[in-house]
Amino acid sequence: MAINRRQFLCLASVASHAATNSVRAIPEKSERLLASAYQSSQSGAYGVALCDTRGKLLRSEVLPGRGHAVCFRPGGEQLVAFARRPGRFMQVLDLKGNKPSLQIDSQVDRHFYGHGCFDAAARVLYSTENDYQNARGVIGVYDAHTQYSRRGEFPSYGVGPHEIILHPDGYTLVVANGGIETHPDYGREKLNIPEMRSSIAFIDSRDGSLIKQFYLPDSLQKLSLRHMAISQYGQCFFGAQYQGAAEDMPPLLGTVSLKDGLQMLPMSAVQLASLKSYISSVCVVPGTDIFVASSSRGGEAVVCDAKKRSVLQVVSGRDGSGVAAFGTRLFYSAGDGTLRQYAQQQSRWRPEGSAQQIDTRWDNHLSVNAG
Amino acid sequence: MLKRVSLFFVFCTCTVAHSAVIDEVQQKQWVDTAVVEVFQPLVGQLSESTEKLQQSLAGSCDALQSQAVFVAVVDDFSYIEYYRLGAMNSANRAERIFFWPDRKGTGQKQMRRLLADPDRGALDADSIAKKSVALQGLPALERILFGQTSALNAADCRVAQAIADNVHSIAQQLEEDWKSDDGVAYRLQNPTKSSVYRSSQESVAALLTVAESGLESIADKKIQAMIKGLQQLAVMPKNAPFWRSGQTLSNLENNLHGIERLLIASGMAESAAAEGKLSFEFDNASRMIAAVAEALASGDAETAISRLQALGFIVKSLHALSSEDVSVKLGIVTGFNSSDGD
Repeated sequence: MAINRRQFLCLASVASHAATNSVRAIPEKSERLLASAYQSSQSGAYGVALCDTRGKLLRSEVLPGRGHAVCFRPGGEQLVAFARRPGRFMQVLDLKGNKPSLQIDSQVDRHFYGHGCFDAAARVLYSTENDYQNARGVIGVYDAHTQYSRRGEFPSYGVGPHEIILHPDGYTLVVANGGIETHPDYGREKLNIPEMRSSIAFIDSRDGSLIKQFYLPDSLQKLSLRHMAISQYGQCFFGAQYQGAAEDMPPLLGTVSLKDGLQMLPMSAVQLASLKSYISSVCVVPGTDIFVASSSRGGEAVVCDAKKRSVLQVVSGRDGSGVAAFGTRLFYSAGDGTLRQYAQQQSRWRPEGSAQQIDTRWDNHLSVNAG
Repeated sequence: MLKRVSLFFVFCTCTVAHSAVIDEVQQKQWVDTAVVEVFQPLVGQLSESTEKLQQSLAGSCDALQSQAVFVAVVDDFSYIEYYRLGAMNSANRAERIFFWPDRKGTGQKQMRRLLADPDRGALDADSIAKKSVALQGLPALERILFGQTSALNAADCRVAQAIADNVHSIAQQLEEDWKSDDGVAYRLQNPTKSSVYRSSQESVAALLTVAESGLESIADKKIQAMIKGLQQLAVMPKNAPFWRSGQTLSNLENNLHGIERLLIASGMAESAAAEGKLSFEFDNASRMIAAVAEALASGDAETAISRLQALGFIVKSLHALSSEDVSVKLGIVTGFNSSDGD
């Protein structure tokens, strides 16, 4: 079901109003929270957990299946945990009151890809989804004011959309189309590697139209663009996963913006070897053009300066994947239950305190609320 | 405010679990043995059998005459189908030699179009290699050799020859990669800091990943596709690999033999004291495949489905044995996110 123009205009009026106020003041004494999907090491059950910034568990909730990314609703009332591909649920947790969680199932002929984002007004939730019968990506549109009823969808302008983020202009959605076709009949198998084509699409959330789309050069045809973060200046940083021979060691990181287009970040062979052709998560250090990209396969995360186009630092963590930052702090979660914290001192990020380890497996992504 | 909940979580100051101390010499030994006794001979075998197929088709346009040679090629390929290392992963070789699953029936559509093309008699290995991957490999050749007619006309025969030439060329490239001084074997055996394998431990991990992803794919993709098709049609579905030549189950069995050989002949299973358990379970899988064949031969789809489901469990158990009993005991712990974080 495509979203109709009237529905768009209704939701878009809220979004565009918020766009003018998109830089939100953060209350000084607000509580920062970290959230991640997890798997229990003991029972194998999947869930979503909230921690404070010391790594202390505040709340956990079982999910119907393996989760992937978690997205805080601006304002801090709720968070949404998305099912990992090809899962069919998203779970909305009430953070302020005691309302029971709300499970939203995907449409019958769609499944989720594990990511979503809110508009600036915290009214509309967008999620990346697979129209698998037609092998095309779509963006599902949900109204948070009506129990996340699905108001429609628009194309992602590619195959296999993964992460979706809101541009600081408040209305542009940036979507990483991984380019890989999958179908629930074949689990997570990749069905179109020879023809795959990944892209990053800038989409106008007000009407679902394509603003601009950036493709990789032919020499990087087998890179799947998956994860992104965007600075408040509109610089988008992305991380890719390579589907060709591991020996090729292609560049995996890059930047894209409407003004400057898509550019890959040069890295040395040693740095690329450590990333194992696989970027698992990306975050931005707020207020800067510094980005962090993790490679769970390489057990390392690189801190990069998008302006200088260079790698500033490498931090290590076996099976480390989730990265999140606020202020001068960086958090790095791992599949062995470890949560590491770093503090910026001059130009370096140094470990702060002991890493916390709990009896669980932190999943791919770590999110921090706006405080 | 958030409620504080203490569930099964146990907080502690972090001491990252240390994996078993592994002897670098031992790791190198497993890798060397796998290269010399598993990869090189099996890939070499495929190169030999594809050459025979090439010769067979060059000598005769009687499809019947080449069918047995084709069956031998599929057997050899099935052994190495999941050896997704090095050249197999580049230039679309894996898909060019075996495009499956073909969800949209691309192979059928493209082949119909090609066989109707009056210029098809001019095809050769180079020109077929530039066409869709669905036309280049074993499923495409199977369509011609196991099609309606035995005696192929000259033009169709040329298409079959071009595909056979292409398959042999790919097999030769794989063989070269495993033998050359700068190929995949060299990289596995000589890890360096700036190479894809930075230590012998990473080389061993790559071998175990071959086994584990292969088993996962067999369970989730091949067996499930068969079950689903049988549930809908009560006969072996046309989306099953090599159904035309009746090799669906032997393809599956040889896939498992290839993985068994890697785990056992390399010495990894023995070092992990898991050889007995693995052999027992691989034998169970073979017996179950035979039981599935029996049910299918007697037209009993329902029994075949339940046996395929049982086979799925056995393959999952093999996956668990490989990832826990072998990998963990050898100190190669594949992380929760690093195995497939998405």
